[in-house]
Amino acid sequence: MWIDVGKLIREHVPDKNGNVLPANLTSGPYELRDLTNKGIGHLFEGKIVYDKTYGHVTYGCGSCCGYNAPYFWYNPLEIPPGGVAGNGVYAYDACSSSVDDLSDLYWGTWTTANQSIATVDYYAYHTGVAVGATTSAAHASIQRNFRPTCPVDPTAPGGNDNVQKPTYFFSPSAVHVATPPVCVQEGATGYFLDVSYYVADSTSARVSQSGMAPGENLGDGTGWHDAFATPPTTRSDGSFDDTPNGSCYVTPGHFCAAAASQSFRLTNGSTVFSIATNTTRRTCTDGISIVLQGNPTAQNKTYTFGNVQ
Amino acid sequence: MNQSQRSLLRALLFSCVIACTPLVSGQASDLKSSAVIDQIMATALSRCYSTVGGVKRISFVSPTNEEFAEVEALGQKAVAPLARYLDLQPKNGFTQLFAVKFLMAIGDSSTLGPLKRAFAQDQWEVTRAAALSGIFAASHAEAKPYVEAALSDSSQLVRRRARDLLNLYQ
Repeated sequence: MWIDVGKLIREHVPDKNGNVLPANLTSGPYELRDLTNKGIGHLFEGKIVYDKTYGHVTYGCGSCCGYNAPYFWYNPLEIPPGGVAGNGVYAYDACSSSVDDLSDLYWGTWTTANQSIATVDYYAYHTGVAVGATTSAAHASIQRNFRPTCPVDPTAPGGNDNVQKPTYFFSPSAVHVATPPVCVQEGATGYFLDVSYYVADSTSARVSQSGMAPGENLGDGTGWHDAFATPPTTRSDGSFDDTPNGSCYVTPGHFCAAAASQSFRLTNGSTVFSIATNTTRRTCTDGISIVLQGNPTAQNKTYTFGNVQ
Repeated sequence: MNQSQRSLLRALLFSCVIACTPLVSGQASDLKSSAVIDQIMATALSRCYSTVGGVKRISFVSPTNEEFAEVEALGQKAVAPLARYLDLQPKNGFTQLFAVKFLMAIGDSSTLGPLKRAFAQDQWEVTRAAALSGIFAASHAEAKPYVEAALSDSSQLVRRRARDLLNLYQ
């Protein structure tokens, strides 16, 4: 590729952003960047001057650029049980002060230390086999930021993988919903909520996995209700709703009573996980209170709407 | 007998009247499925009624695992009988929500039509929000216009559900 810098100056040629080089420009730094080949650049630089009418060039070699130590996108990588989570490799380009995605250079080299915990495929998609922890590694040669030579060196970044154990149902919010027509038809009054939940693991990290079935047990002899949630299995972000949660009463004036407490479990494939979260509830003709407990303290919560005294 | 239970009884009687006429085997099978659904719906609704301190209480109690398993075993044969409950008059909310939950458990594309019906404005907002989740679960593509429209729904619950679902497209 030839670049006649003198011509760019004389003819006021704009760059892609519309900027032109000043007409009185006689010197300045520049850098060349290989936009196609990441990891190992294919550029080299030479200078030649064939017309000195308007200037001259001082010969010299441009300094090379390279990457600092590469690292994984996610470390640790949280893998849902029986689910899939992707990973990749970043590296810091010291010249552009930017982080480049070098994942494709490492494809086909990924391994996990314990395949009974997690496996990994060509493109670094990890599959959780059993609850537990293991490590991943990948390798590739890239140009390093060791000047002046910027050698192409082998690199082998590593990281931790956790196959998550669903442990809690955390609730970000609850909203008051309209009283169902059945209550109106019966002359009853009450409060109902839609309680949002998501599944969290033992470290309180979200388990983003679809298809897990939350179950509730009301302690009333009807056993586990493993399709009580809406939808009956988790969405891809591990969320679900408990709706409608509440009661109405056929009685005049203010009336309250304890409602059945809820215990929870989660079924993923053939594995059933105990969930530490549980609730106690008090429902009234004009209010409702739901206490979520069994979580780490910060995630325990009380939702109170209306009058529950 | 309360009004909701009377509505269900009417539905059961409707099934019985049809079942008394001579039928070919396919129709008989459909009527059997219909009768199973009617029985499950009536049992599920009755579980929502209890008494505490002498006061009648009405709470939504999810159907049992066995009831879901029965409906799932019927598969597509259960879709039409369940869809009938969405048009029941008067709507009591719980019955339509049971129907939506069972349709979601079946989960295939044959449930899309009834779930769209359950999303109509004449349904209880909880039923509509559940139906939106059901449409999304059955087909992300089919659900897209419904989710987008629901962002400006009159129900806060439906709007919130739409926002949550929209995030899952990205």
